[in-house]
Amino acid sequence: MSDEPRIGVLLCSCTPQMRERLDFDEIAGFTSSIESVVHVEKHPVWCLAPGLTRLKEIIQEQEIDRIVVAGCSYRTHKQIFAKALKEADINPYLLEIVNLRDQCAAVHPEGATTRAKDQIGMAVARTAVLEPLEEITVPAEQKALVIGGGLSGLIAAGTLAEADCEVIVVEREDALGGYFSRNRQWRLRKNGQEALPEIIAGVESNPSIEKLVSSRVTRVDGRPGEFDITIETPQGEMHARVGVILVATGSATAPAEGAYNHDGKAVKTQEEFERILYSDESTEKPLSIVMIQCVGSRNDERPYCSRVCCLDAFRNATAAKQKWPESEVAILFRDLEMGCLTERDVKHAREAGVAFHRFDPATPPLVEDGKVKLVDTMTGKEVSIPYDLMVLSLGEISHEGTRETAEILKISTDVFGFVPEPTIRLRPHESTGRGIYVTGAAHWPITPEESMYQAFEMASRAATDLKKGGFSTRPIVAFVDESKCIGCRLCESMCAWGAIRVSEPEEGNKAHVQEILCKGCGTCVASCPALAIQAAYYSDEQILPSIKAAVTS
Amino acid sequence: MTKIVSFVCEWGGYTAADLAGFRGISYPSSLRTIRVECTGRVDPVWMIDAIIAGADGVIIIGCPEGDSRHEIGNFRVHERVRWVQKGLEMIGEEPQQVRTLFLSSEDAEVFAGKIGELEKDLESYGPPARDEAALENLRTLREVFAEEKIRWLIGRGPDMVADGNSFGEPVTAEEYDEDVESILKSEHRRISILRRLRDEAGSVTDVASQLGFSTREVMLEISDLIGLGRVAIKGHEDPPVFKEVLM
Ligand code: SF4
Ligand code: SF4
Repeated sequence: MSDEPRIGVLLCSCTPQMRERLDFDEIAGFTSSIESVVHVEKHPVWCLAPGLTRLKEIIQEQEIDRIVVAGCSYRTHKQIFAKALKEADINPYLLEIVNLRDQCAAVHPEGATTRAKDQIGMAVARTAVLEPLEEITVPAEQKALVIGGGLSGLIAAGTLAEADCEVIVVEREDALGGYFSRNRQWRLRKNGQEALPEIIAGVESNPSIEKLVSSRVTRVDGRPGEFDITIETPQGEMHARVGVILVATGSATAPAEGAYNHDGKAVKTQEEFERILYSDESTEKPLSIVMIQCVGSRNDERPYCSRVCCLDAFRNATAAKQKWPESEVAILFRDLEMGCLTERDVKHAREAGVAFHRFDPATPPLVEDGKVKLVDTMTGKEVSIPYDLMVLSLGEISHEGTRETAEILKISTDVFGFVPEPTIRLRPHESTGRGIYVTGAAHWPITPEESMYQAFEMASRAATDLKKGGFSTRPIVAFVDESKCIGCRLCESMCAWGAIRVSEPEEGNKAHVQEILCKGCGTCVASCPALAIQAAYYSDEQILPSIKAAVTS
Repeated sequence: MTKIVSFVCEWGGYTAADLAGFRGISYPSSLRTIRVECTGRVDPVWMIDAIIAGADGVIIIGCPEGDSRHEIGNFRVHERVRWVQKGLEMIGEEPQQVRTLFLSSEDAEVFAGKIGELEKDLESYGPPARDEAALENLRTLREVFAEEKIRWLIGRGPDMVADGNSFGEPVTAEEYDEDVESILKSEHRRISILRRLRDEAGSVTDVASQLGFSTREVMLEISDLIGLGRVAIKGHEDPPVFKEVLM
């Protein structure tokens, strides 16, 4: 490569509007007059095979070492041209793209040519000082950590082990199985309920899975592919290095907090009710059961719907009718949120003879003289139901372990302490951070069925990433000039990704970028008091020429 | 002709601009865009550089608050723009020539509308004075925004207002603003003096009369700068003359 940049500029004229509104002769004349430009060529469609072939030819003929494409959007076309450059042995980051189509011709009936010239001039000025960049890759330790030994965590651990990964499962309680081994077994349905002991046994007997119960992850250092974990176990502190981390810390049921004079006897929570409903020893035999939905949910403090409590009520009401056929069971609800695949549960409850009454949250059911009174908004009539057992459907809240884990892993939670999927509509089941995968009710309240398929999915994603041998990222990242850094730590608080850290005073008190985590957003760069950070591809020296060239005419 | 320089993030502003094209929504051709990863990258120095280079207006277009692809970049740039606006006002420039626009990538109409609005506003302000004095003021302001102290305060400010300062004392938004304003002023004075002493040595009285400060102000500032090693006494003249120490 010679010292002076040799830029080739490709002018594209693929739409009629471009041909009509842009004066390509004028643009080409202007562009050729720029010092570092050695070749300008117009083509009707540069981005298709003939154009790309021609591109490679002119790179050869003209000894071009960097390219400006003036045609379509950088977003949609950078990959195409980056690939072509790679094939022509030119670093794909020695490329800039000007959008003549959408950002000039299509939007300016007048003045499109002038803008096009300036934008090309700006791109050329910047391209002359671009630097070759190499993809960043880091190796991955072929081992996974699963935090949480409940349904989701166990399935994930089993799936990873099946994919030949070593696994460590950390569970804070003294046995594997989680929530469903102690509570709410209905949620697993009959087959699931039987499956849980099997799943536990499978993990227990699997030699590639290390099981640590009554243990907690207390510290995570390092980076994706090489996380250094500290675990507190009954035998003392333990250290391990893993490549990926799965968070399966689940959710918890909200406390009753005295709602409807809850006493655990005549007024029970669904969970307490299940203990008499699904037990062969219990002698309690309620004759009139009233279930109230959305207790403590969907209010100002907790506005979300927990999705599983309606299903709780339906299944428990049906089971109650089957266990005590002579009893009356009514469900008082605001809206029924049944989620998918629950048609069958609705049908069963109806067939079993469960009664339904809808109420308005402004006038919730009132308890008076052993009766529950409400105005049924479906019929408009006042209803009064005598009861000897009232059952409260409480919502789900995030598990303490989820909030703790999120803090340790530095992943963000929503205001309720759940770990949301970053872009649920566009990329559901995307991992939250690189090398970190969240599964199950740690995300939001979900049914065990959903939790299970999520566990399979996240575990296969984690296994796929491990099997690739490492993690990689684009080289558009921040870098620090240590001689300028004053160790002020402002950059740490600027980075939403925990990608830049300042070493301890005894280690030099300088900022370091964990490149694999860095998104190249540049927030730290533009904040650094000492001007010690730059961002690759968008350094000050690579932007200032564009600013200067922006205002020429 | 009016010239607008816009810094757009790839995910918000650039995408909205693409969409405006796709939908054929026209807007003033005075716009020149510079794409960055995230508006969090946009340095206060760049904003002033664009004005010095001849832009009549600067607009930074990123994702809506709380929805930045990079989480907080847009919030940080908003704070920087606030201070650049105050700095411009301080030197007698129109503060609104620099602004932010946060939009979703679908808001092509908003994008086009706001560019139109900015162009109209800039026309109503009239052509800005760009004589040597105004340019010198801008260049000084540019250096102010490259200064450690001011960048630290802009970066730390919002967190200080939320969590208190390094000593755990609460800081109100008003106190923070007052602090930055007074520091902006004193840094501007300091940089003006430094710039004056950059190419040519000068005495306290020279500097004071040329820059319109009191001799006392200049004396105090120069003694501070000597302490910081940024200014040194030159020769053995009486009264003494000073010169910037180039680092
Ligand atoms: S903000 Fe800049 S000077 Fe401060 S620690 Fe980070 S890199 Fe160093
Ligand atoms: S460029 Fe962005 S992601 Fe990278 S270290 Fe700086 S603030 Fe963090």
